[in-house]
Amino acid sequence: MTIFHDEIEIEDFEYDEDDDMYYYPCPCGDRFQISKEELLAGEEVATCPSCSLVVKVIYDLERFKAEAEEIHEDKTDKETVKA
Amino acid sequence: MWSWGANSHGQLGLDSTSEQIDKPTEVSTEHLSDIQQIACGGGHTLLLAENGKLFSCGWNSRRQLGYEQEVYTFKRVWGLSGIHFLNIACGWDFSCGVTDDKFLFVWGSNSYGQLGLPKNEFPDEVKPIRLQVNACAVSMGLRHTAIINSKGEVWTTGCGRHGQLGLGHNVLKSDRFQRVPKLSVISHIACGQNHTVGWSSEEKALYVWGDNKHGQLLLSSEKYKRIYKPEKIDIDVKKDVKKLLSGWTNVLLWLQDGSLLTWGRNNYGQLGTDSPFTGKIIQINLPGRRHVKDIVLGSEHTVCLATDNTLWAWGWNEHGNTGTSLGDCIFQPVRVPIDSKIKISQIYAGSAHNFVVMDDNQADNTYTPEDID
Repeated sequence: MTIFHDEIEIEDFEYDEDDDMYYYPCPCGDRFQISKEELLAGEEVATCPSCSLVVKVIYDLERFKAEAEEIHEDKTDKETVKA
Repeated sequence: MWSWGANSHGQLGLDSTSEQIDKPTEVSTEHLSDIQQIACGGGHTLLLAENGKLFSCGWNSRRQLGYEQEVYTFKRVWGLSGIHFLNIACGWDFSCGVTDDKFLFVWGSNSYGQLGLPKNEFPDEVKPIRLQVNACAVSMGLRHTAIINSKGEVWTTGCGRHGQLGLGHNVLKSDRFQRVPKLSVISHIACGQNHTVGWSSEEKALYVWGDNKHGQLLLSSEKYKRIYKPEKIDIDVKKDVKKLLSGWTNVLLWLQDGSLLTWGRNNYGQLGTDSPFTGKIIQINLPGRRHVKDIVLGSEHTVCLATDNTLWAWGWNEHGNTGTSLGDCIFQPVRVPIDSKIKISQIYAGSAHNFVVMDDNQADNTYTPEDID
């Protein structure tokens, strides 16, 4: 069984639009990270590239999927308007 | 000056990045004279040298170094030259300095309003700027900042999702400093990951607010997950407090009589004992009844200098935080392997990195530690 350093709500993660990644500080000085793609696939473990600690991401998969879909539609709408 | 521990972002000032530096390693100080203070953030470090000159190194993702480049050796913050700093502090990816006329300069990440700058007027990454804020003491946490002004009032800004601002459950974020209500005159302040603790010397009382997931507020973690307003805790301490410190989820009080009182999370040995934390204050004793000269906290570890010039550490050790390779968690104080001829005058710790500064006047003196055992 995985021992989590902590359980962190998705709202506490910082989302980086450039690389579609969610980040949260790790006590080692680096950051826990998990991609939007992984979250959409139901993955809930964010890892740190510099140490062994892992955190569990607390989020509602269905709501997360729905919100991702909405944002996607928004973007598509804007592109249509531009064209 | 020596440094060790996590070095993913070059925060040790050793002109390199690496996962970690296992043992205390000498840092070049050719261009740094008369080191006054060091402050360690998540992955960056600030250093105050002679005449209050400011230097920095390490991670610079949010301009927390006070200039644009990312550097792995201490570089002068030229944008703040001519300003005489007396005190410095770091949060996770933000920084501050207090000037000799007690004004607060802030820089780095303001994503959560933790610099006290209105988000609609400032970008998320801010260059050093002087605030109209009088700060006698300052502490920065993961995403929030707390200061004590000359009247002993506490003012907070930043993320408040877990109650760490102490401004009530309606204020879950703030991008300007607001006064924390329900407090008496506060003398010491410390910010953790998502909580804040304050000490009133006048009242000899502890005030706590924010996240209590691990009992770091000395309240039952089952009953109170978090509190949004300060709660006064009577811990029956009659002595004066030398230092009030906070790790991410543990708190430590160093009293005038030398005792160390601690509480909070203990999964990595943060409390210096292998007994589980049950909600009651734990007293830490250095081996051989040594006396404490100074003590500092990282995110999940502690470093303590004894008056006989021996250096001790405990807590999380994955990055060699204690300078030893005795395992990932150190539940009892262990001796940090550093040449005993080096007479240490100052110690500092950040998230998982450490600095010690050697006494300047010892160049030719060979120091013989007293044998207390």
